[in-house]
Amino acid sequence: MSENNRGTSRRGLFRAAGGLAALPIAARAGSLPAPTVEGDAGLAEFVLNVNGRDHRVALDVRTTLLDALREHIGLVGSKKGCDHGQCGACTVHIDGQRVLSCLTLAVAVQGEPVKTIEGLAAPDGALHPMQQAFIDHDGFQCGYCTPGQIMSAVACVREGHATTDADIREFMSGNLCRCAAYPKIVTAIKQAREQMEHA
Amino acid sequence: MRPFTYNRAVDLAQAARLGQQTGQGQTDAPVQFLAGGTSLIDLMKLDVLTPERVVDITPLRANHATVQAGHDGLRLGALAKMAAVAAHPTVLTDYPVIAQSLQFAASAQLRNMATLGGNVLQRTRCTYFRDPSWSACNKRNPGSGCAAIAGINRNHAVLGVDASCISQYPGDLAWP
Repeated sequence: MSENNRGTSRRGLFRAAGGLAALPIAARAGSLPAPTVEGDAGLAEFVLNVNGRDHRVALDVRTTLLDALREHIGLVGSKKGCDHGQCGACTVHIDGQRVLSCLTLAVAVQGEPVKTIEGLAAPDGALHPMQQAFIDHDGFQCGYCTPGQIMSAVACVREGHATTDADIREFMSGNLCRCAAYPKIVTAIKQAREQMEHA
Repeated sequence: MRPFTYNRAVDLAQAARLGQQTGQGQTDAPVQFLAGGTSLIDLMKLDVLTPERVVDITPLRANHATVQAGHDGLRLGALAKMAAVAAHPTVLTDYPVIAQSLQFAASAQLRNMATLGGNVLQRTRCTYFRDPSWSACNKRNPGSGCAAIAGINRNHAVLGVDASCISQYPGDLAWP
Protein backbone atom coordinates (compact mmCIF):
# COMPACT_ATOMS: atom_id res chain seq x y z
CA MET A 1 0.00 0.00 0.00
CA SER A 2 3.07 2.22 0.08
CA GLU A 3 3.42 2.02 -3.70
CA ASN A 4 3.74 5.76 -4.07
CA ASN A 5 6.48 6.06 -1.49
CA ARG A 6 9.01 3.87 -3.25
CA GLY A 7 11.66 5.50 -5.36
CA THR A 8 11.54 3.03 -8.20
CA SER A 9 8.90 0.37 -8.14
CA ARG A 10 8.70 -2.73 -10.26
CA ARG A 11 5.33 -1.54 -11.50
CA GLY A 12 6.74 1.90 -12.30
CA LEU A 13 9.33 0.31 -14.53
CA PHE A 14 6.68 -1.79 -16.23
CA ARG A 15 4.54 1.26 -16.80
CA ALA A 16 7.34 3.28 -18.30
CA ALA A 17 8.48 0.38 -20.44
CA GLY A 18 5.01 -0.41 -21.64
CA GLY A 19 4.14 3.14 -22.50
CA LEU A 20 1.42 3.12 -19.89
CA ALA A 21 2.79 6.13 -18.10
CA ALA A 22 -0.23 8.27 -18.85
CA LEU A 23 -2.03 8.68 -15.57
CA PRO A 24 -5.52 10.05 -15.22
CA ILE A 25 -5.89 13.47 -13.80
CA ALA A 26 -7.25 13.19 -10.29
CA ALA A 27 -9.35 16.20 -9.64
CA ARG A 28 -12.42 17.26 -7.81
CA ALA A 29 -15.38 16.27 -9.91
CA GLY A 30 -17.65 18.72 -11.51
CA SER A 31 -21.10 17.63 -12.56
CA LEU A 32 -21.38 14.42 -14.55
CA PRO A 33 -21.71 14.81 -18.29
CA ALA A 34 -25.29 14.38 -19.39
CA PRO A 35 -25.94 11.04 -21.09
CA THR A 36 -26.14 11.53 -24.81
CA VAL A 37 -28.70 9.86 -27.01
CA GLU A 38 -26.05 8.75 -29.46
CA GLY A 39 -23.98 7.15 -26.71
CA ASP A 40 -20.29 6.87 -26.04
CA ALA A 41 -18.08 4.99 -28.47
CA GLY A 42 -14.40 4.65 -27.89
CA LEU A 43 -13.37 6.99 -25.11
CA ALA A 44 -15.83 8.17 -22.49
CA GLU A 45 -15.08 10.86 -19.95
CA PHE A 46 -16.54 10.37 -16.51
CA VAL A 47 -15.83 10.46 -12.79
CA LEU A 48 -15.03 7.42 -10.70
CA ASN A 49 -15.44 7.87 -6.94
CA VAL A 50 -12.95 5.55 -5.29
CA ASN A 51 -12.28 5.47 -1.55
CA GLY A 52 -13.92 8.85 -1.11
CA ARG A 53 -11.93 10.56 -3.82
CA ASP A 54 -13.12 11.57 -7.27
CA HIS A 55 -11.02 10.61 -10.27
CA ARG A 56 -11.87 12.15 -13.63
CA VAL A 57 -10.95 9.57 -16.23
CA ALA A 58 -11.17 9.15 -19.98
CA LEU A 59 -11.47 5.46 -20.69
CA ASP A 60 -12.46 3.14 -23.49
CA VAL A 61 -16.03 2.16 -22.65
CA ARG A 62 -14.91 -1.48 -22.66
CA THR A 63 -12.71 -0.91 -19.60
CA THR A 64 -13.79 -2.92 -16.59
CA LEU A 65 -13.78 -1.33 -13.15
CA LEU A 66 -10.93 -3.68 -12.22
CA ASP A 67 -8.75 -2.51 -15.11
CA ALA A 68 -9.69 1.12 -14.42
CA LEU A 69 -8.57 0.74 -10.79
CA ARG A 70 -5.38 -1.14 -11.55
CA GLU A 71 -4.16 0.30 -14.83
CA HIS A 72 -5.49 3.85 -14.79
CA ILE A 73 -5.99 4.98 -11.18
CA GLY A 74 -3.01 3.06 -9.84
CA LEU A 75 -4.84 1.12 -7.14
CA VAL A 76 -3.43 -2.36 -7.66
CA GLY A 77 -4.74 -3.94 -4.46
CA SER A 78 -7.72 -5.48 -6.24
CA LYS A 79 -6.42 -8.51 -8.08
CA LYS A 80 -7.18 -10.07 -11.44
CA GLY A 81 -7.52 -13.81 -11.06
CA CYS A 82 -9.91 -15.39 -13.52
CA ASP A 83 -11.34 -12.15 -14.99
CA HIS A 84 -14.64 -14.04 -15.39
CA GLY A 85 -16.36 -13.62 -12.04
CA GLN A 86 -15.50 -16.98 -10.60
CA CYS A 87 -12.56 -16.41 -8.21
CA GLY A 88 -13.48 -13.27 -6.23
CA ALA A 89 -9.95 -11.80 -6.23
CA CYS A 90 -11.31 -8.56 -7.70
CA THR A 91 -14.01 -8.06 -5.05
CA VAL A 92 -14.72 -4.41 -4.18
CA HIS A 93 -17.65 -2.61 -2.56
CA ILE A 94 -19.98 -0.44 -4.61
CA ASP A 95 -22.38 1.54 -2.47
CA GLY A 96 -21.47 -0.80 0.38
CA GLN A 97 -22.28 -4.00 -1.50
CA ARG A 98 -19.58 -6.52 -2.41
CA VAL A 99 -19.37 -7.00 -6.16
CA LEU A 100 -16.92 -8.26 -8.76
CA SER A 101 -15.02 -5.43 -10.43
CA CYS A 102 -13.97 -7.66 -13.35
CA LEU A 103 -17.58 -8.02 -14.49
CA THR A 104 -18.40 -4.35 -13.99
CA LEU A 105 -17.91 -1.75 -16.69
CA ALA A 106 -16.23 1.30 -15.19
CA VAL A 107 -18.45 3.63 -17.23
CA ALA A 108 -21.54 1.98 -15.75
CA VAL A 109 -20.62 2.85 -12.14
CA GLN A 110 -19.61 6.45 -12.76
CA GLY A 111 -20.25 8.56 -9.70
CA GLU A 112 -21.09 5.62 -7.45
CA PRO A 113 -19.01 5.15 -4.29
CA VAL A 114 -16.42 2.41 -4.84
CA LYS A 115 -14.35 1.10 -1.96
CA THR A 116 -11.24 -1.00 -2.50
CA ILE A 117 -8.82 -2.70 -0.13
CA GLU A 118 -6.75 0.49 -0.17
CA GLY A 119 -9.66 2.38 1.40
CA LEU A 120 -10.30 -0.05 4.23
CA ALA A 121 -7.72 1.11 6.77
CA ALA A 122 -8.33 4.27 8.80
CA PRO A 123 -6.84 7.53 7.48
CA ASP A 124 -4.13 7.29 10.15
CA GLY A 125 -3.11 3.90 8.81
CA ALA A 126 -4.71 1.81 11.56
CA LEU A 127 -5.77 -1.47 9.99
CA HIS A 128 -9.39 -2.51 9.76
CA PRO A 129 -10.18 -5.29 12.26
CA MET A 130 -10.54 -7.71 9.34
CA GLN A 131 -7.09 -6.87 8.00
CA GLN A 132 -5.58 -7.31 11.46
CA ALA A 133 -7.44 -10.59 11.96
CA PHE A 134 -6.05 -12.03 8.72
CA ILE A 135 -2.54 -11.14 9.96
CA ASP A 136 -3.18 -12.47 13.47
CA HIS A 137 -4.43 -15.82 12.18
CA ASP A 138 -2.20 -16.11 9.13
CA GLY A 139 -5.24 -16.19 6.88
CA PHE A 140 -3.25 -16.38 3.68
CA GLN A 141 -0.20 -17.96 2.14
CA CYS A 142 0.69 -16.42 -1.21
CA GLY A 143 -1.66 -13.50 -0.54
CA TYR A 144 -3.02 -13.07 -4.04
CA CYS A 145 -6.65 -13.71 -3.09
CA THR A 146 -6.35 -11.80 0.21
CA PRO A 147 -7.63 -8.34 -0.83
CA GLY A 148 -10.73 -9.96 -2.32
CA GLN A 149 -11.12 -12.24 0.70
CA ILE A 150 -10.93 -9.28 3.09
CA MET A 151 -13.36 -7.08 1.13
CA SER A 152 -15.76 -10.00 0.89
CA ALA A 153 -15.34 -10.85 4.56
CA VAL A 154 -16.09 -7.29 5.71
CA ALA A 155 -19.32 -7.35 3.69
CA CYS A 156 -20.11 -10.86 4.90
CA VAL A 157 -20.04 -9.69 8.54
CA ARG A 158 -22.07 -6.55 7.79
CA GLU A 159 -24.70 -8.62 5.96
CA GLY A 160 -25.07 -10.78 9.07
CA HIS A 161 -23.87 -13.87 7.21
CA ALA A 162 -20.99 -14.65 9.54
CA THR A 163 -22.89 -15.99 12.53
CA THR A 164 -21.77 -19.62 12.22
CA ASP A 165 -18.78 -21.39 10.67
CA ALA A 166 -21.10 -23.00 8.12
CA ASP A 167 -22.55 -19.61 7.21
CA ILE A 168 -19.09 -18.10 6.80
CA ARG A 169 -18.05 -20.94 4.50
CA GLU A 170 -21.23 -20.66 2.44
CA PHE A 171 -21.21 -16.88 2.11
CA MET A 172 -17.46 -16.72 1.45
CA SER A 173 -17.72 -19.34 -1.29
CA GLY A 174 -17.27 -16.68 -3.97
CA ASN A 175 -13.64 -16.20 -2.96
CA LEU A 176 -11.30 -18.96 -3.96
CA CYS A 177 -7.94 -19.53 -2.25
CA ARG A 178 -5.63 -21.69 -4.26
CA CYS A 179 -3.39 -22.15 -1.21
CA ALA A 180 -6.42 -23.44 0.71
CA ALA A 181 -6.04 -21.18 3.74
CA TYR A 182 -9.76 -21.57 4.34
CA PRO A 183 -9.70 -22.76 8.00
CA LYS A 184 -7.59 -19.77 9.01
CA ILE A 185 -9.76 -17.41 6.99
CA VAL A 186 -12.83 -18.64 8.87
CA THR A 187 -11.03 -18.13 12.20
CA ALA A 188 -9.93 -14.64 11.17
CA ILE A 189 -13.47 -13.66 10.18
CA LYS A 190 -14.80 -14.81 13.55
CA GLN A 191 -12.28 -12.65 15.40
CA ALA A 192 -13.04 -9.60 13.25
CA ARG A 193 -16.78 -10.20 13.60
CA GLU A 194 -16.55 -9.81 17.38
CA GLN A 195 -14.61 -6.58 17.03
CA MET A 196 -16.83 -5.17 14.28
CA GLU A 197 -19.97 -5.94 16.26
CA HIS A 198 -18.62 -4.24 19.37
CA ALA A 199 -17.11 -1.30 17.52
CA MET B 1 -13.93 -7.47 -26.12
CA ARG B 2 -15.11 -5.87 -29.38
CA PRO B 3 -15.71 -2.12 -29.51
CA PHE B 4 -19.26 -0.97 -28.85
CA THR B 5 -21.26 2.16 -28.23
CA TYR B 6 -22.41 2.60 -24.64
CA ASN B 7 -25.79 4.12 -23.81
CA ARG B 8 -27.44 4.80 -20.48
CA ALA B 9 -31.20 4.50 -20.82
CA VAL B 10 -32.86 7.27 -18.86
CA ASP B 11 -36.38 5.86 -19.19
CA LEU B 12 -38.30 2.90 -20.59
CA ALA B 13 -39.16 4.67 -23.83
CA GLN B 14 -35.53 5.37 -24.58
CA ALA B 15 -34.52 1.80 -23.68
CA ALA B 16 -37.20 0.46 -26.01
CA ARG B 17 -36.21 2.78 -28.82
CA LEU B 18 -32.52 1.90 -28.50
CA GLY B 19 -33.43 -1.78 -28.30
CA GLN B 20 -35.40 -1.85 -31.51
CA GLN B 21 -32.45 -3.39 -33.32
CA THR B 22 -32.32 -6.43 -31.05
CA GLY B 23 -34.21 -8.51 -33.60
CA GLN B 24 -35.00 -11.97 -32.34
CA GLY B 25 -32.55 -11.80 -29.46
CA GLN B 26 -30.01 -14.10 -31.10
CA THR B 27 -26.37 -13.98 -30.13
CA ASP B 28 -25.55 -11.88 -33.17
CA ALA B 29 -28.04 -9.18 -32.18
CA PRO B 30 -26.39 -5.77 -32.61
CA VAL B 31 -27.90 -4.40 -29.39
CA GLN B 32 -27.64 -5.94 -25.92
CA PHE B 33 -29.08 -4.65 -22.65
CA LEU B 34 -26.77 -4.31 -19.66
CA ALA B 35 -28.18 -4.80 -16.16
CA GLY B 36 -26.14 -6.81 -13.64
CA GLY B 37 -23.62 -7.59 -16.34
CA THR B 38 -22.51 -10.88 -14.80
CA SER B 39 -23.44 -12.83 -17.90
CA LEU B 40 -23.19 -10.16 -20.61
CA ILE B 41 -19.69 -8.88 -19.80
CA ASP B 42 -18.47 -12.45 -19.37
CA LEU B 43 -19.82 -13.52 -22.77
CA MET B 44 -18.49 -10.36 -24.43
CA LYS B 45 -15.02 -11.13 -23.08
CA LEU B 46 -15.37 -14.62 -24.53
CA ASP B 47 -16.34 -13.14 -27.91
CA VAL B 48 -19.64 -15.03 -27.81
CA LEU B 49 -21.63 -11.80 -27.77
CA THR B 50 -20.34 -8.96 -29.96
CA PRO B 51 -22.93 -6.17 -29.75
CA GLU B 52 -22.40 -2.89 -31.58
CA ARG B 53 -24.39 -1.12 -28.90
CA VAL B 54 -24.79 -1.80 -25.18
CA VAL B 55 -27.78 -0.17 -23.54
CA ASP B 56 -27.29 0.19 -19.78
CA ILE B 57 -30.72 -0.13 -18.18
CA THR B 58 -29.58 0.09 -14.55
CA PRO B 59 -30.80 3.73 -14.32
CA LEU B 60 -34.32 2.26 -14.55
CA ARG B 61 -33.96 0.38 -11.27
CA ALA B 62 -35.70 3.05 -9.23
CA ASN B 63 -39.02 1.88 -10.69
CA HIS B 64 -38.22 -1.68 -11.73
CA ALA B 65 -36.42 -3.28 -8.81
CA THR B 66 -39.37 -3.60 -6.44
CA VAL B 67 -40.72 -6.67 -4.67
CA GLN B 68 -44.48 -6.55 -4.08
CA ALA B 69 -46.27 -9.26 -2.18
CA GLY B 70 -50.05 -9.13 -2.03
CA HIS B 71 -53.17 -11.31 -2.07
CA ASP B 72 -52.86 -11.85 -5.80
CA GLY B 73 -49.32 -13.15 -5.58
CA LEU B 74 -45.78 -11.92 -5.81
CA ARG B 75 -44.54 -9.35 -8.27
CA LEU B 76 -40.77 -9.18 -8.77
CA GLY B 77 -39.12 -6.27 -10.57
CA ALA B 78 -36.88 -7.34 -13.45
CA LEU B 79 -34.04 -5.21 -12.10
CA ALA B 80 -34.32 -6.53 -8.52
CA LYS B 81 -31.05 -8.11 -7.40
CA MET B 82 -30.96 -11.81 -6.58
CA ALA B 83 -29.55 -11.08 -3.10
CA ALA B 84 -32.27 -8.53 -2.33
CA VAL B 85 -35.09 -10.88 -3.29
CA ALA B 86 -33.50 -13.82 -1.46
CA ALA B 87 -33.40 -11.73 1.74
CA HIS B 88 -36.86 -10.15 1.37
CA PRO B 89 -38.88 -10.95 4.53
CA THR B 90 -42.09 -11.92 2.70
CA VAL B 91 -40.27 -13.97 0.08
CA LEU B 92 -38.48 -15.81 2.90
CA THR B 93 -41.67 -16.64 4.78
CA ASP B 94 -44.24 -17.09 2.00
CA TYR B 95 -42.12 -18.11 -1.00
CA PRO B 96 -39.24 -20.13 0.50
CA VAL B 97 -38.61 -22.04 -2.73
CA ILE B 98 -37.85 -18.79 -4.56
CA ALA B 99 -35.70 -17.54 -1.66
CA GLN B 100 -33.71 -20.78 -1.53
CA SER B 101 -33.31 -21.09 -5.29
CA LEU B 102 -31.67 -17.66 -5.24
CA GLN B 103 -29.64 -18.19 -2.05
CA PHE B 104 -28.01 -21.34 -3.38
CA ALA B 105 -27.10 -19.86 -6.75
CA ALA B 106 -23.71 -18.46 -7.74
CA SER B 107 -21.84 -16.50 -5.04
CA ALA B 108 -22.66 -13.62 -2.71
CA GLN B 109 -20.92 -11.13 -5.02
CA LEU B 110 -22.75 -12.37 -8.11
CA ARG B 111 -26.09 -12.34 -6.27
CA ASN B 112 -25.44 -8.70 -5.34
CA MET B 113 -24.96 -7.87 -9.02
CA ALA B 114 -27.27 -10.14 -10.99
CA THR B 115 -30.87 -9.13 -11.60
CA LEU B 116 -33.91 -11.40 -11.78
CA GLY B 117 -34.63 -10.39 -15.37
CA GLY B 118 -31.12 -11.33 -16.36
CA ASN B 119 -31.29 -14.54 -14.38
CA VAL B 120 -34.37 -15.67 -16.26
CA LEU B 121 -33.06 -14.51 -19.66
CA GLN B 122 -29.41 -15.53 -19.32
CA ARG B 123 -27.75 -17.61 -22.01
CA THR B 124 -26.97 -21.26 -21.60
CA ARG B 125 -23.88 -22.24 -19.65
CA CYS B 126 -23.02 -25.00 -22.14
CA THR B 127 -19.24 -24.96 -22.49
CA TYR B 128 -19.49 -25.38 -26.28
CA PHE B 129 -21.71 -22.31 -26.46
CA ARG B 130 -19.18 -20.33 -24.40
CA ASP B 131 -16.23 -21.28 -26.62
CA PRO B 132 -16.51 -19.86 -30.17
CA SER B 133 -13.60 -22.02 -31.32
CA TRP B 134 -16.24 -24.75 -31.57
CA SER B 135 -18.04 -23.88 -34.78
CA ALA B 136 -20.97 -26.20 -34.19
CA CYS B 137 -23.48 -24.65 -31.80
CA ASN B 138 -27.08 -24.17 -32.79
CA LYS B 139 -27.57 -21.61 -30.05
CA ARG B 140 -24.68 -19.46 -31.27
CA ASN B 141 -25.11 -20.11 -34.96
CA PRO B 142 -28.47 -21.69 -35.84
CA GLY B 143 -28.11 -24.59 -38.25
CA SER B 144 -24.45 -25.25 -37.43
CA GLY B 145 -25.11 -28.35 -35.34
CA CYS B 146 -24.37 -29.29 -31.73
CA ALA B 147 -20.87 -30.15 -30.56
CA ALA B 148 -22.12 -31.21 -27.15
CA ILE B 149 -24.19 -34.20 -28.26
CA ALA B 150 -21.14 -36.22 -29.24
CA GLY B 151 -18.79 -34.22 -27.02
CA ILE B 152 -18.23 -33.95 -23.30
CA ASN B 153 -21.84 -33.89 -22.28
CA ARG B 154 -21.82 -34.58 -18.57
CA ASN B 155 -24.14 -32.21 -16.70
CA HIS B 156 -26.09 -31.51 -19.83
CA ALA B 157 -29.83 -32.01 -20.04
CA VAL B 158 -31.33 -35.47 -19.71
CA LEU B 159 -34.96 -34.58 -20.26
CA GLY B 160 -36.53 -32.42 -22.91
CA VAL B 161 -33.64 -32.64 -25.36
CA ASP B 162 -33.69 -33.11 -29.11
CA ALA B 163 -31.15 -33.64 -31.86
CA SER B 164 -30.31 -29.95 -32.13
CA CYS B 165 -29.34 -29.00 -28.55
CA ILE B 166 -28.84 -30.70 -25.19
CA SER B 167 -28.05 -27.63 -23.09
CA GLN B 168 -29.79 -27.03 -19.80
CA TYR B 169 -31.82 -24.00 -18.96
CA PRO B 170 -29.47 -21.98 -16.71
CA GLY B 171 -31.91 -19.82 -14.72
CA ASP B 172 -32.23 -20.37 -10.98
CA LEU B 173 -35.75 -19.45 -9.97
CA ALA B 174 -37.88 -20.14 -13.02
CA TRP B 175 -38.48 -22.48 -15.90
CA PRO B 176 -38.77 -21.25 -19.47
